Amino acid sequence: MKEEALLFGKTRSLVGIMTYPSERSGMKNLPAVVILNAGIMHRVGPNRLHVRMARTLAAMGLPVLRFDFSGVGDSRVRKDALPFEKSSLDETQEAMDCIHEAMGTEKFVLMGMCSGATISFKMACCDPRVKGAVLINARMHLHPMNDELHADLRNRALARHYWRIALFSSFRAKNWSKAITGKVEFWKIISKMVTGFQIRNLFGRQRKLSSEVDHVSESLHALSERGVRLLHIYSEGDEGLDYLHVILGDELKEWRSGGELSMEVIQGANHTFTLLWSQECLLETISNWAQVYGV
Amino acid sequence: MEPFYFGESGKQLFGCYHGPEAEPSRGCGVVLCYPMGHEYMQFHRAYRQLAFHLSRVGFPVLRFDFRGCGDSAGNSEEAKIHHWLADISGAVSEMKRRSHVAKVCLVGLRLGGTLSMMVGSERTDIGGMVLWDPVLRGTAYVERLRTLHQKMLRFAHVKEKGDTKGDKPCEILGFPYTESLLLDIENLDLLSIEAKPADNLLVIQSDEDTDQRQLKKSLEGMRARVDFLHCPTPQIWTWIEDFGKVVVPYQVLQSVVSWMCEAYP
Repeated sequence: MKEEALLFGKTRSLVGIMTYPSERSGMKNLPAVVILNAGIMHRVGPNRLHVRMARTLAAMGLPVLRFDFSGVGDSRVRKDALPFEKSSLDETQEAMDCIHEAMGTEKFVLMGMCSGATISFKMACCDPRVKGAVLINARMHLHPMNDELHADLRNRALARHYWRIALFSSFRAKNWSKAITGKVEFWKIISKMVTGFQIRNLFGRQRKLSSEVDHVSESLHALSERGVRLLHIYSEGDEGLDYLHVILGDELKEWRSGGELSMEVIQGANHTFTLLWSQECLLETISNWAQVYGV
Repeated sequence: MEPFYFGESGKQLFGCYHGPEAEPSRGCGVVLCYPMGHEYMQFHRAYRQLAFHLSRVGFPVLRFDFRGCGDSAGNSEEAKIHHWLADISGAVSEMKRRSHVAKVCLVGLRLGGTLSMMVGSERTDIGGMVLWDPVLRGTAYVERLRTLHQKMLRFAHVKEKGDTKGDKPCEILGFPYTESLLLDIENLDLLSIEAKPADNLLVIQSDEDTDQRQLKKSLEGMRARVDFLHCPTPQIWTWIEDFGKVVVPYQVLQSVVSWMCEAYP
């Protein structure tokens, strides 16, 4: 396995690390994997997870590029005033172009955690070269950024999150203990739980929000028709898990049974997979998915 | 800035070389030595900023990742103190090769500072050194890491699983630490070093839990010129899950740049 540091992009200002598999024959026909930043954390990823992901996938024969968006990690800040929502998509395409020029690769799998997952999903929707995406603790990725809807969804997801954590999750004892001992802002949370939540949503069947988010189905159908495989991975403690339930409602089950959208929940894990067992579990989930779908 | 790998094949270290942007270049190269584990993650941004500012005032700067850390080769489980000491020497040689400077200044943070001082006391080409909250005694450092880990277990949404004993390494805040590495760290005692690590030193204390004045006194006993900066920056050494809340201590960065400019006019 070889690792190479790259400067690429239109202004050669994006910093990335390419991990090549030891066996390069037939690599042209395999997809390459691009790992995107998790928020403002540099390309190494939380707890060095992106390095381990890249090495694990390269050991399976896939070339992997993990890089920093402009202004994040080691990549230079852009000189134009392009907003991040746009520049991150442009730069992800520049990463794919860079791999294509170097290796002739025409198929890509995008992978990202948190905001990296959101960008991966959006890129999958608009670039036909993307054949798969691994979305780790994704949230706010399935609907357009309408401020009102955004706030409403966030409130609902947060309220559901707090209820789930308080009543059903494996963390409930720990959280009640913190609430009782005054170690959390209890009343702030209670107010979120009460204002943003309808009790029937917790115990009853989930219903999709409104026609405003109908295009979610359209996006997923379009990806499905293109044969794009999606893997959602959530930590049990992550509020993105609730977001997915809130926005897809009962359709989540249908999408999962269709096979195009897989979802795995890692019980007992936090947002950034701090404990070593949860890191192993994440790596295993990703490599199993890559093997099953032949990426 | 140029990202690249250097060193022996299989043990390659990742580095970022920031060429001097001001003319003439100062006659001293700066090698930045990161801290370890979660502290490395939290200080990457601060070190990048520091490298940028130093290069702007004419210093060639090399940042590099230790073996088994960041983008460098190796797994975290393979980390060893003597490898890391060799890595600093490798980075010093790489800096000299790239920038043709005769003298190098090391800037080391936490464990990176401790290792810098250990390397400096064995070499004669380290002209200056910035020791930013270096680990004075390994036992206290390991104890503190373990305390932070226990605190994280109490507050974060995490659940311990399985057998943590046996062959598995101990884990602290997202990173594995083998028994031998912990033992090596616990055996570190910066105050027992007797050879002068550099002629000019700046000792920075931002962490209130350790008294770095002991180190200043010890260095002065070696006839080194030592400046001391006390700049309390609470919370920067604690574990933070939300990276958006990680603070870049600009006041300290500015002080390091000013000190370097005075030491190498």
